[in-house]
Amino acid sequence: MKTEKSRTLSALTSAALAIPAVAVSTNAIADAPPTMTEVGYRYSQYQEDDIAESNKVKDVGSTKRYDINIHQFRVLTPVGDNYSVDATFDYETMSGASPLGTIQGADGDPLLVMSGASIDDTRMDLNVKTTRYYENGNASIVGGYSTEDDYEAFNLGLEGEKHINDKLTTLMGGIGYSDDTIEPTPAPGRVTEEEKYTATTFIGIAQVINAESVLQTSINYAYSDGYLSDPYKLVDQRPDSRSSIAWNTRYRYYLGSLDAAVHADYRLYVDDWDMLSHTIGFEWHQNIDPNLRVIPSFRYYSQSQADFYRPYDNASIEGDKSSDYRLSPFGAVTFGLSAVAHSYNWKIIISAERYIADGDLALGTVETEHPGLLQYTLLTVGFDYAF
Amino acid sequence: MGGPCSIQLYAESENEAALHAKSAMDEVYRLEVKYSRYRDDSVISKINAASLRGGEIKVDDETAGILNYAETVLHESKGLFDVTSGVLRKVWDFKSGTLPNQLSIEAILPLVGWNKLSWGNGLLAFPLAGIELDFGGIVKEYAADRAVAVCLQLGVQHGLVELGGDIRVIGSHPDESPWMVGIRNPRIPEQAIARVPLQQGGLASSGDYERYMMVNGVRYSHLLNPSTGWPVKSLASVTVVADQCLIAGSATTIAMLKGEQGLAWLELLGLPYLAIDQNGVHHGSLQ
Amino acid sequence: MNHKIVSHKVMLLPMLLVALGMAGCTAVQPWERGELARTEMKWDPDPMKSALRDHIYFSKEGSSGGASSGGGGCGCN
Repeated sequence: MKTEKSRTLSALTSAALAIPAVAVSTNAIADAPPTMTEVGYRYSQYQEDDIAESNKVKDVGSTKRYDINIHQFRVLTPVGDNYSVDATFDYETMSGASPLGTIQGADGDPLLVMSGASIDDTRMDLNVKTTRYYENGNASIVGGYSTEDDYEAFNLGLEGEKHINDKLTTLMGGIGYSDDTIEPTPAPGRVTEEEKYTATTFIGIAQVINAESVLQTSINYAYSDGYLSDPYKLVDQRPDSRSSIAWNTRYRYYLGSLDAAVHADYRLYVDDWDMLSHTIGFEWHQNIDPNLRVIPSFRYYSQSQADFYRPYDNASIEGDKSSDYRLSPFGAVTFGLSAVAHSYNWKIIISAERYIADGDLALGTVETEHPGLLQYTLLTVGFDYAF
Repeated sequence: MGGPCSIQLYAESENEAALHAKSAMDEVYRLEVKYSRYRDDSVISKINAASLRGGEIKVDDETAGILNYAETVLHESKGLFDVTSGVLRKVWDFKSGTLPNQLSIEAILPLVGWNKLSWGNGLLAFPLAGIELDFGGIVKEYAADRAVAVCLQLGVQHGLVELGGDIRVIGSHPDESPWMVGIRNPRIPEQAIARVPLQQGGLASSGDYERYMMVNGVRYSHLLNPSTGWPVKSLASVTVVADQCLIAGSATTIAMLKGEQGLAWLELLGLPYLAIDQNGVHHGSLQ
Repeated sequence: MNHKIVSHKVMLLPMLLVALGMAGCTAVQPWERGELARTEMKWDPDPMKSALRDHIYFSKEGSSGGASSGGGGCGCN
C-alpha cells in the first residue's frame, strides 16, 4: 500500500470535501437552534409631517411633530446543543410637539392644541428570549425591560410551539404579563405616578398547505387594568380596564415561476372600548438574483372610534372622554420598498416607507376627521452578520 | 436512484432507528429531486433550460461545490469523465439493439465538452446553446455520503447506506465486525463474485453490464468517450474503496473510461480496487 | 356623529380563506419542503423590521396584538 496519497487522490479528495455541508433540516423544517451566531443592527429615521397651520389653534404650540432616531441591536446565538438566546436592544431618541387636546374652532372644525417646541425624550428597551428546542417543538421564556424619561415597564412571557402531523402542522401558544409605571413630568392637576397591568394570552395553528404555501391563524386576548389615560392631554379620562381580542391570519406563497414569495396578512381587532379595526398587509419578496431581493409592500388599516371618543374636548362632561386621535375613526395606508443584498452569512438592508392616515381612507364614513391624523416617512438601513 | 436503496443502522430503539433512517432517506430524496433530469423544477432542469437559451445561471453553494468537483474529475481523467456528455444519450438507445448512425453522433458531438461552457464565481454560462449537464455519475455517490453525514449528525454510530450498488459505511457492526459487501459478477450480475469486508468508508462499482447492448456479438456499454461519442472498450468491471463513496464512484468511472490504461491508472491512484477484465481475470488488492 | 365600521362581510372572507386553506392540504414530503425553508417564506424574515413596525403601529394607532406573548408598552405620544 502506498503511504502517501497519490496526487490524483489528493485532488479528488479536496474537491469532494469542498462541497459545502448543506445545513439540511432532518425531517422537514427542523426544530433546532441556529447553527451560527447572528448579530444585526438597524438604524431608522422616523419623521412625522408637520401639522398644517389650519389644523391647529393659532399661536399656540408648535406645528412640528415627532422626529425619532432608532438604533436597534440584535444578537441571536445558539447555547449548547438545545438552546438559543435572542436578545434585542433598542435605543431611541425622539423630539417633537404633541397634541394636548382638541377644541372646536370658530367655523366648527376641530383644531389641535399643540404643545411647545420639543419634548426631548430617550427610550431604551431590552428584550431577551431564551428558547429550548425539542424533537417536535420548542418552548421560550421572554423577559423585557423598557424605560423612557417618564415611563418604565417590565414584561415577562412564556410561549411554545409543538409540531404534529409529520411537522406539517404546528400548534402554538403563550401567555404574557407586563407592568407599566408612568411618572409624567409634573404639572398642576396632573397625576404623579400611576400603574397599569396587562395580561395576554394567545393560541394559534400553522399548516403547510402544499410545497409552495403555508397558512397560520392565531387569536390573541389581552386585558389591561389600571391607569390607561394619557396624563399629558388637557382633557382625558379613559376606563380603568380594556379587554381586547386580535385575530391574525398569515399566508405565504412561493411563486416558483417568478422566484418570488408573496405574503398576505390580515388582522381583525375588537375591544370593549367599542373599537374595531382591520389591518391587511401585503409584501412581495422578489428575488432578482441569488444575492439580491426587492420587497415592495402595502398595508391598509381602518379603525372605528372608541365609544368615549369625542372630537372636541369638553371638561364639563361627565364620565370617560378623550380626543386622542388614536381613538378616533380613520383609515391609513403604508407604501414600502426594501432591498436586501445577501450572501450566506451576511445581509444588508435598506428600506423606505410612507404612512398616510386620513378619515376618507376608513371603511365606514367618518363625519369629522381628527386634525391630528398622522403622516410619516420611515427610512431604515442595517445589516445582519452570522459567524 | 436506479436500483434498490437501503439503510441499515443500529440505534437505541426501533423507533429511533426508523426515525434516523427516515432522516437519512429524506436527504437522499432531497438530492434526487434537486438534481433529477425528469423534474422541471430541479436545479439540473433549470441549468439545462438556461443552456437552451444560450444564457447564464447563478447556482447555489451546493451545486457550485458539485460543479467544482466535476471540473476536478474532468481534469484528473484527462477529459474522459465529462458531465456534458449526457447529451449523447439522445443518440444511444441501449434498449433498441441498434447502433446509432455515425452522422447523428457527429451531429451531436459538438455539444459535448466542458470547455464549451463557462463556469466560475457561482455563475454557469452557455455561450453554446444546447449543452446538457448530467450529474448521473456524481449525485448518487454524493447522496450516499450525505445520507451517512446525516446519520452521523444524529449520533448513529453503526450502519450502512446502499444506493443501488454505491455503498458508504456509517460505522462497523456494534461488535466491531465489518460489513461484508458483495461485488457483482460482471457476467452474472445477480451473483456475487467476491465479498469484501468494509470497516469504514465507501465502495462503488462500475461495469459494462450496467447498461449495454449486444450487437453482432459485440458489447456496447453506456460508458461513452466524450471525444468520439462511442463506448469505451475496457474492463468488465471495477470496484474501488475510498473514504468517500463519491471518490470511489468517480474512480471506478474514470478507470472504466480509460479503457486499456484503466488498470495502470488504478495502480497509480493508490486506492484498494478489484478490476475484472474481459477475460475474467481479477486484478487489484481487493480480493 | 361618527359611524362605526360595518364589517360583517369583511369578517367572513378571512374565515373562509382559512377553511379553504386547511381543506386543500397535501401531504408534503420532507424533501419537498425546500421552498418553504427559504428565508423569504418565513413568517417573519426580518424580526427587527417587524418589531419596529409593531412598535410604531402600537404607538400611533388604536389596535394591538400579534401572535406573541407581547413586549412592554410605552408612554408613547
